[in-house]
Amino acid sequence: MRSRASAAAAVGLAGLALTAAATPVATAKHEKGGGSHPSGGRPSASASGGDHGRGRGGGNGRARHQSGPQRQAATGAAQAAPVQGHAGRAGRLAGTKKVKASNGAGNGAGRGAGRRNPSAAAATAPVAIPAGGSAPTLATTGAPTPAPPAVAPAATRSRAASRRSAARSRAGTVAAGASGAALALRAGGTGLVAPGALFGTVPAGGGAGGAHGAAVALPRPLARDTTDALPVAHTAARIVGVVPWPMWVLIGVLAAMTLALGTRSWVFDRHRRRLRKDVGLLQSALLPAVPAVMAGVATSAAYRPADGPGAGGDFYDLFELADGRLGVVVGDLSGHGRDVLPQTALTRYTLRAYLDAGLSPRAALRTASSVLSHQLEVAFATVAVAVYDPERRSLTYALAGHPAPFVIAEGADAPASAVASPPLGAALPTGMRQTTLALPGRATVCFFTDGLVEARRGGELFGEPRLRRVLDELPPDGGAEDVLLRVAEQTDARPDDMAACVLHFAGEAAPVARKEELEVDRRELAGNRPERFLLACGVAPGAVAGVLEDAGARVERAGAAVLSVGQAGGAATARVRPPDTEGLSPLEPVSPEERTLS
Amino acid sequence: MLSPSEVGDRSGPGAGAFSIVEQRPDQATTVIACAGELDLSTAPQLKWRLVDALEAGLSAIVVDLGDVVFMDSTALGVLVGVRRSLDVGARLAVVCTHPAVVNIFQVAGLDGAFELFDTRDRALAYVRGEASRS
Repeated sequence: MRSRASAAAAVGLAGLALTAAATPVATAKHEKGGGSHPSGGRPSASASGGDHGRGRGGGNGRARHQSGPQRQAATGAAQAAPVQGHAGRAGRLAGTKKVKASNGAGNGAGRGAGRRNPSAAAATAPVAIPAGGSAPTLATTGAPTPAPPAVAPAATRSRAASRRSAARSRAGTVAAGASGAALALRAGGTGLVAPGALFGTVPAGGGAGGAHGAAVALPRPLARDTTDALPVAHTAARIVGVVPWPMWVLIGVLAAMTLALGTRSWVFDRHRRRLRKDVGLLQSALLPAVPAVMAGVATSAAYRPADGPGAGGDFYDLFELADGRLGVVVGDLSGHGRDVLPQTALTRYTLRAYLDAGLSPRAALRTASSVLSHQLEVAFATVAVAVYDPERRSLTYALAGHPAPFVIAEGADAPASAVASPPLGAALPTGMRQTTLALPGRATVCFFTDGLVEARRGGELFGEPRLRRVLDELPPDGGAEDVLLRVAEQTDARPDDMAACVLHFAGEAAPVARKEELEVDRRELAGNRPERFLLACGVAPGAVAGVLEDAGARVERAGAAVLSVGQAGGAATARVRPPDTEGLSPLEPVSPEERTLS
Repeated sequence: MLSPSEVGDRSGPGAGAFSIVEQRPDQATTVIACAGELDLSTAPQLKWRLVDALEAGLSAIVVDLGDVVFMDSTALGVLVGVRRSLDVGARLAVVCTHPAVVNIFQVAGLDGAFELFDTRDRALAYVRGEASRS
C-alpha cells in the first residue's frame, strides 16, 4: 500500500491540483483525526470561505467510510460539514507546514474512493452534493489542470494536505478513499479539483476518513473505472473538473435563461399564430351576413383569411338599397393584419353610404376617394362597387384599381381593362370608369379579390383562367363559399385573403349587352388615354377622332364629358354624353378664368 | 455614395428567387433592379431601398422591374407610397416589360400614374430630365 501511495505521490499532480480547502479538509482530518473537531467548533464556512461546500462533501465522504472500518459514525453526516470546515483549516495549517510532503496522497484517496468504496461516494452524493447523479463522474474524473493564479496558494495547501492524507491512507482503509472521493465530488461541483480523488492509485487509509462516519452507507454502483477505461471520458471529465465554480454558476444561469427564452418564444409564437387567426376571425366578424336572395337575385358572399401574415384587408358588402336595388361592395385594403381592420370597415361603410344616398358606383368612388385619401393614411383600397337594378335588369359597376368581375352569360366577353381607374386613397383621381351590363337572361356574376387569382399551386399562380373554369363549373345553386372552397382545394398556398360575391340572375339564356364609360376632362383629353379607351372598347379606329372632337367640345362647355361605348352583338358604338356626376366636384376644379372663358 | 455602388441582397429559397440590386450611377440617381416575384414577402426589400433613396435626397429614381415575373398589390402599394413621398422636382420611373406586370399596372389603373418605360435607358433619360414622359 505504501509503495502505491508514494507512487501516486510521485506521479505528482502537484501542478495540476486546483483544490483549495477541500482536499486540505480531508487531509486535516486524516492527520488529526477526530481531534480537529473540537478545536474548530464550527468554523467551516469562515475557515474555508467559499469552500464550505467542499468541506461538506468531504464530510459526507467520510461518513461513508465510517460504515466501513472505523466506526466513528458518531459525527454523522450532519456534523460532517462543520467538521470539515474545520478540518479545512487544519489542512491549511498543515499545508503551510509541510509543503513538500508527498503529493499523491490526496490522489490515492480519491481513487480509492472511486474504485473500492463507490458505495460510499454514492451514499454521500445525496447529502453532500446537490448535483446528485453527476457527482460520481466528477469524483472519478476530476480534472487536473493548472490552477488559476488566484487559487494557487490554496492549491499548495491542498497539496500538502493530500500528502498527509496519503500518509494516512497507508494505514490502509478504503474508507478514507471514500472521503477523498466525496471531496473530489464537491470540488468538482464547485469548480475545484481534488487531485487526489482523481488520480490516486492508492486507496486511502480509512482511519481518519472514516472517522466522521455518517450513519448512512447505501451502496450504489458508480462509474468507477471509467477513468481508467475511457481516456476520452477521462479527458472530458478533466475539463469538466477544471471549470471554476463561477463558471458553473454562469452555466446554470445560461441554461436557465435558454430554457426561459425558449419557453417564451414558444409561447410568443403560439400567441402570434393565434393573433393571426384572430385577425381572420375579426375580419369575418366585421363582414355582414348576406341574405340568400335580394332584389330577386340569388346572392352569396364569402371571405377566407390568408394563411399567415397576409390575413385581414379583404371585405365585402351586399345590401338592398332603399329603392329596391341591390348594392355590392368588394374590396381589398393594401395593408394586412389587425391595423387595417378599422380601415376596411371605414371604406365599406363609406361606400355603402354613398350608394344608399343614390350615387352611381362611379360617383360613389369619386366621392369616397377624396374623403378616404385622408383617412386611409398610407394604405389604399382597391374596390369594386356595383348596383343592380332589378326593373331594368342592369348591373352597373365601377372599379378602383380592382379586377373586373367575371360575367358568365351568353355573349359575355372579357371586359376592356384599359384606362382603369386607380385605387382609393392613392392620392390619385379615381372614379372615371364605369361599366353597365344588361342582363336580360340567365347569368352569373362573380366579384372577387386578387387573393383568389394569386393563390398558388406548386408555386404557380392559380390565375384568372382557372378561376373562370371554377365559375363555369359552378352549379346553379353554388355560391361564393363554394367558389372559395374550390379555389382552396386546387391550391396549396394562399398568401392573401380571398373574398368573393356571387350573384345568380335567373332566366332563359339571353345575350348580354355592355356599356363602357370613361369620364374625361381637359387634361385627360390632352393625353392618349381617351383614344386608348375607345380602341380597347372596340370602337373603329376611323371613328375615334370624331368622338374625341365631340368630347372636346363638350369639355369646353361643361368641364367634363363622358365617352360611352355600347357593345352588343360584337359591334361597338361610341357617343359622348354629359357627365352624370354633376353636383360632385369635377376631376380638377375649374378656375374662375376658365369659367368665364366658356 | 459618391461612387457607383452595387449592393445585392438575395432572399431565401422560399421567396421565389427574388433578388434586388441597386446601382447609383451618379450622385443624384439610383437604379433599383428587382428580379423574381415581388409580393408580400419581398416587397418590403424594395420598400426599404426606396425609402433609403428618398432619405438620401436622390432626385432620379428608376425602379427596374424588367426581370420581375409577378407582382402583387403589396408591391404596388410600395410604389404608390413612394410616388406620394417624392420631393418636388424628383422623378420616379418604372421599367416593366413582363406582360403580367404591365397588366397589373393596367388593372390597378396605375399605368397612367407612373412613368412606365420598356428599357432602363429610356427610364434613366426621363428621370435625369433628358426626356419627357414615355
